[in-house]
Amino acid sequence: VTDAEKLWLARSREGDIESFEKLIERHQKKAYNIALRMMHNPEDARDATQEALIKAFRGIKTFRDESGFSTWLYRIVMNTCKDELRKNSRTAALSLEQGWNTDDGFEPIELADESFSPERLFERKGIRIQIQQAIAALPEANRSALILRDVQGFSYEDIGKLLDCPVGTVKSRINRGRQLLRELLTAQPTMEGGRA
Amino acid sequence: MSNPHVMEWIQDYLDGRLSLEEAARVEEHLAECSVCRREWIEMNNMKNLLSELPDEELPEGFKEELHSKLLDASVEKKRFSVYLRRFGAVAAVLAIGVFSVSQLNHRTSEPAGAMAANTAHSEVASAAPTVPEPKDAAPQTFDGTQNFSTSQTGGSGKSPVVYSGTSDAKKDITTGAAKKVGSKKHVALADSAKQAPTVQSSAVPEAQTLGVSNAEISNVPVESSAKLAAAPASAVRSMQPEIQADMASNSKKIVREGSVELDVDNPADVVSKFKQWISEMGGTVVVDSTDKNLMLKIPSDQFDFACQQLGTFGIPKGLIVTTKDITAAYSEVQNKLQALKVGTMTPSNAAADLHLELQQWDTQLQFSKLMIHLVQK
Repeated sequence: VTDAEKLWLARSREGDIESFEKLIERHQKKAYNIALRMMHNPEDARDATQEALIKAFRGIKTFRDESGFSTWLYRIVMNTCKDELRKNSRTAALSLEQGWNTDDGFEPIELADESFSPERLFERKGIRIQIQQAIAALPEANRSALILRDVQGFSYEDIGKLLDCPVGTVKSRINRGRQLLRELLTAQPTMEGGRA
Repeated sequence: MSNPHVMEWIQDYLDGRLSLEEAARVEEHLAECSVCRREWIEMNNMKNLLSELPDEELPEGFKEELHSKLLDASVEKKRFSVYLRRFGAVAAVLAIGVFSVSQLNHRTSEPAGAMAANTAHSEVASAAPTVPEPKDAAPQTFDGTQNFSTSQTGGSGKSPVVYSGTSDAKKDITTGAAKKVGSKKHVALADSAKQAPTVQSSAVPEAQTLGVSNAEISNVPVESSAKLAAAPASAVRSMQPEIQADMASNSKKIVREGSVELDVDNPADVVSKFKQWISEMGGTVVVDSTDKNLMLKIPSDQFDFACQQLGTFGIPKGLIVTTKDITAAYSEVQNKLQALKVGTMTPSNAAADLHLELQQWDTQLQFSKLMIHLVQK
């Protein structure tokens, strides 16, 4: 933590908006990207990130651990995303086996096709979009852990702090998340509209 | 997954969470076992793909929109704080009342002088802790000597002043506070205060009755859904010369910002007009992706004029102007930089941060921000 950051933190606690903005300057892009992977929608990610940052501003008076500012901030982001996802029935209606049950009817997950053999999976162009869709289809606990570890590069210990769970739980969520993700990417949907 | 394989270790191996000895055993196995090797390759590829997902840039207008929301949150926070203190004060008065009645009931047999002394003492003791000094409210006072200043040290406190009312009246609740200290600014605001008797008459007696400081009351934002076609020229001008005098003399470094909701017929048309108008002033306009939130950066000496003219674009609601005296903070940063130059502190990246901070303040002093949220009628 630099002297300037300490100064901004102290002033943020007094309600100074500019200092708070300086304090979050180098964190907000990462915060947005965490939210983007969690929410799988730029608009929702934008809203969730801003809501989280506002919460942080409101709560910074009670924050004391200067060295853990980023962890504290990202934790708020994760929790805000989780809250929003819980409100989102569309996400809750997702079935890994079948697809989305939306207000407009059933939408199959368009992830896998015949070229999705493990050998070719990672050579395909456009794989990023499909990976993002697959991430969105993961159960929330596995998705959170996987995004923080493999997309954002946090340590197991930091993820434990961010998700408020032991490192052992983090490990099992990551492992299970990776397995599920691979299954999603290599699955062979058989429903109508899917690919045999 | 069977015992001879190392499937359960592969993810730890990928994450570098094995000891050297364990890692060597896994590598040895992978060299021999095609099943585990395939697992490792697939997992490694997927992990790499995930880590290579590009970070997206923040959406356009993100920071401006956030700034606007932070301003709103700041005002709400202060408002809540004041309400809480008021509630505390009311509770204190009620408690004193109950306590006093109780004392009277219990001491009807005591001599009158002793009873009065006890009651008075208990009032002082009870009232003191329930009305704490505001720390975060940054009350703004017009004291005639410090001009447009805040009572908070350190220069980071903000003080919302709310212009609200009809097209020809400015309600400024600070008149209640100013009345006591007899500021020349109060005199200047007297005319508009007369036109807003409701606010003044409700604020002052409450402060006197409940023992809430006038400074606290001066910080209460007033919201009104009444039309504010334009802040009255007389009221705005009454503050402008002294603030500008402070700025010009460098005696005070004052940053001002405002936020307002503006009811308009055609948002796109209004955005276009704002862009042209502010550009002519020498300022800039940033619009978010929804075309509903605007951030105007207005040359500071024309900020009051701009607020005054808002009514020509639509119906302003709840214009809130915050002021921040950064004089002390600015000097503090300048001193730190000076110390770095003369070698009394170890040079570091902090110097660049401090330079940047001064530059940003200079910009804020030069341009005042006005956040506008457009609402279609």
